[in-house]
Amino acid sequence: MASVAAWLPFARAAAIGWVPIATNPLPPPPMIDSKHRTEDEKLVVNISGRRFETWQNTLEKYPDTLLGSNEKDFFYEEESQEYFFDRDPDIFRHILNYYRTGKLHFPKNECLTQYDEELAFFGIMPDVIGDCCYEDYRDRKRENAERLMDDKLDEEEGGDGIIPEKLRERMWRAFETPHTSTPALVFYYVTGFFIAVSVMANVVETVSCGRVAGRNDVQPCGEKYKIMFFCLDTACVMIFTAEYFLRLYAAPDRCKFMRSVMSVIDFVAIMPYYIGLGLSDDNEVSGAFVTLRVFRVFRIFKFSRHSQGLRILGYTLQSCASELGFLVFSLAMAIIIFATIMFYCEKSVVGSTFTSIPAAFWYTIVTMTTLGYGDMVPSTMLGKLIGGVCSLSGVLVIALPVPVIVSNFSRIYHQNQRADKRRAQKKARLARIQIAKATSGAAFVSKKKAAEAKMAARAAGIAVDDNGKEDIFEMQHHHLLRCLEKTTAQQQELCLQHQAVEPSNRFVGRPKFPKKAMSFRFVGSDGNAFPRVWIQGNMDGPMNRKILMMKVFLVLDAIYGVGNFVLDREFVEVDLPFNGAPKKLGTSPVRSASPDKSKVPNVFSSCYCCQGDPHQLELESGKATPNQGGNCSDSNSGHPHNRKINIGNRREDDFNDVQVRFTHHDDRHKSSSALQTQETSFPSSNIEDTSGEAISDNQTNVKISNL
Amino acid sequence: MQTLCDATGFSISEMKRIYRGFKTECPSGLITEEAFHSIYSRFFPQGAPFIWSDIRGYVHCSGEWAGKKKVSKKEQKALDLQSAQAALSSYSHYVFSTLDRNDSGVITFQDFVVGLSILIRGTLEEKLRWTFSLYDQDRDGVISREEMEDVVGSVFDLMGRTGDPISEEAIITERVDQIFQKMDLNGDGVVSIEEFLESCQNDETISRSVQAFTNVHI
Repeated sequence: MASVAAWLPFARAAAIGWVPIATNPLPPPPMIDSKHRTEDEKLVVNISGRRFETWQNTLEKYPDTLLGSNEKDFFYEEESQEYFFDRDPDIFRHILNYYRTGKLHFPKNECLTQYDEELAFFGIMPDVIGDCCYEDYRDRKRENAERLMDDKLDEEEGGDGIIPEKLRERMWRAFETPHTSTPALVFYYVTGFFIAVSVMANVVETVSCGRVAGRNDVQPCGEKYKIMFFCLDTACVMIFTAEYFLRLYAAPDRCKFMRSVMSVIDFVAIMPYYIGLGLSDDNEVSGAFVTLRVFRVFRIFKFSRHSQGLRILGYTLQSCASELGFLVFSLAMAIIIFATIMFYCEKSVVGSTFTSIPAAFWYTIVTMTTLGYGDMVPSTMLGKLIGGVCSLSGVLVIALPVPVIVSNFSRIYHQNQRADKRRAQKKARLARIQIAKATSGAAFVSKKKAAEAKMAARAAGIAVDDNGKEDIFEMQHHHLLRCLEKTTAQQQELCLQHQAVEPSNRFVGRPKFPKKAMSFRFVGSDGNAFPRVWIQGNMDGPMNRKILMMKVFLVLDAIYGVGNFVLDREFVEVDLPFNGAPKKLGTSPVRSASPDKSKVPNVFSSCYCCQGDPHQLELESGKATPNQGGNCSDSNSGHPHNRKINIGNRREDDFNDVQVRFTHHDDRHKSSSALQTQETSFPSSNIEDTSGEAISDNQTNVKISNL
Repeated sequence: MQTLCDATGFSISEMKRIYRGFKTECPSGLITEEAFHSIYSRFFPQGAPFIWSDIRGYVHCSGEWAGKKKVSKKEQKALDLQSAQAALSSYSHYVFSTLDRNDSGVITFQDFVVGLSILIRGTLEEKLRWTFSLYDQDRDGVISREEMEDVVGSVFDLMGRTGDPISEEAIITERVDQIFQKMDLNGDGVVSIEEFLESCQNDETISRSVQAFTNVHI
């Protein structure tokens, strides 16, 4: 530590005191070059514009940090002779103070993670935070960690999107989160209803319903309509039993489930019935039977599954156990004290109700809670005095632990609210971020295309006007991606070469596409065009449209080869609404006048049977018109050929896999297996081709529009 | 500042540097004995550890053991006592009391810089006088055997007590005997200032060793 470097000369000088003790001569001191140690220098540290000046020694105090070691030389700027860091100047202030005073403070108004990051950047461990701020730092770090853990747990619980396959898992999930599926919701409400019915029945059972004939008693409704109540009870218990066993079956960990509070409540709620069934109607055990009926009231606790507030209350009481214990204990103490005093005061009064100390307990409790029934009243003066003191102190004793419990409840309740709110907000936030990213993705795509166009133009020797500021970073990024494409495209070309062309079935009839299909037209500037391309996909939402565009790219990749095409900017829109309106093409594609027979099937450059002739790729929007557009009719096969590129799954409702099939009237075989993931069962199955020869090295400008 | 420079013989820039180091270490401008001791213990890490506890009850220890652990109240008291005793008998204590001429318990900057100037810029005789006053704790003008043993023991403490105390005691006693033999010329059992000066100046070893600390760089 260089803070003591200032003292080293003194320590060395004071060591002269050892001299007389030494028996041997002490070694001579090291010769220090006089010009070695010059005046202490001042350094300028520029943090995002704010300049901090300090002595060099100050920074050298802690050589294991960034500023104290040679690492700061990486940030040194010769022209301005200062060290430049592009960081937050407000936090740097604290870091520099650490060097100056040796104590690192943690400002209360800063974000903890930001502070941590700055510390990590400058190579300072958070553990050196001074004692004055350390507690605060630790507390906030713990809070942060807890919150993150909560979020993570919520994520894990709340749906990783995995649909549980097994019945057990599905059932468990339905039980635990009733809002996920309709049957679960139905079950939830049904059980709730029956709980209510059962509780009401228990209550109404005891209401008096009229007099017994011949006797002077009032008869509770339970006696009068015994059969009805019995049936009702049986029904409810059957439902509860079924529910209990279903839950038991579905529970992933049965032992844990059986030990959990809710299942105990369930069990206690239904047991009295069965025990009652088992017991006969003897008078001896009927007493016990009646007692058991009391337990039926536990059914009301089953509502806690249905109400979150009740759960929170239970949780609060659980967490405030110590406060509650304190309350009970202090109350007990006070009761005993006051009851004793009251008893001895009132003992002598004739006919007093204070017959014993336990009898006085009742008076004390009633007084302390300010109930004051008046069944026991002190008569002596002293008794009244003590009674007054008792009631005053009762208010105090009860009022003390209550705010603690209340604040606990409030904290837990708000935490719960926050968790729910956060979950909802998160979804909305993520959705917004996706939209923003999608639009920026479009910008990326267009930029990429622009960059590539520029590069191609430059390669071709055409002068490029540098109107936009060239973003070197972006150019390099695009170049990197292109290299990757080229690397992987090699393989594709190879595998595509080896596929022969198979004859296809005549494409007749309407293709069985789902309604959600979007049609695209690809027209290449090199004259290549392609027949109908259907792209199946879910059209709703920016995310899905983006996926759709990805599929389009895949098609084009397959057609032209990866990286060999450039989308014409005018026609590409990521968030293209499917309204069926046709887009204008720049130039109308040339239609083939006469189809020539091509010997080499080459889907990349042309229809294989009419090599060299451009075809217009026409896309169907779900309506099957196979003969639309520029079909060149192959005189050989005699039927129009359409090249259909289907991208989509066979299942109509999820489009996870992407499959590209080139359907051709000659469909011989499956298409680019590199891209294909699943076979369809379309009658016009087919595909493919390709020899990669016609892949041009030059990029072709593909106009893509949707009809 | 100019008077101080004149009195001590440091240049202005040197004075500035010394003062800055001083003030950084103790912003209040006064050094207490504990601060002094902690500074010293940073230089001599093997020395008897200086143990203290902070407000949270964690025990800190200068020197080689720098662990933190919680101690009970009783242990804390024992440690305090131990550290107080250690501090009392450490070399830094003697240096402190030598610097603190008027026994105020704190060292001001003047004391410090005056002492430093003697040690660095002083003549051989001045240095030896300073050393004498270091050994002579009670300022009675003579070094008794106990005083000498204390100081020698503290210097050995700086190295850290490694072996068993008994053999170390023996070494210390032997060393003290040697010194006394050399210096106590009139054999009265104590070493006076004149004897000290004379014997040191005549002793080759000592004169040469004093040179070891001369070119202290500020």
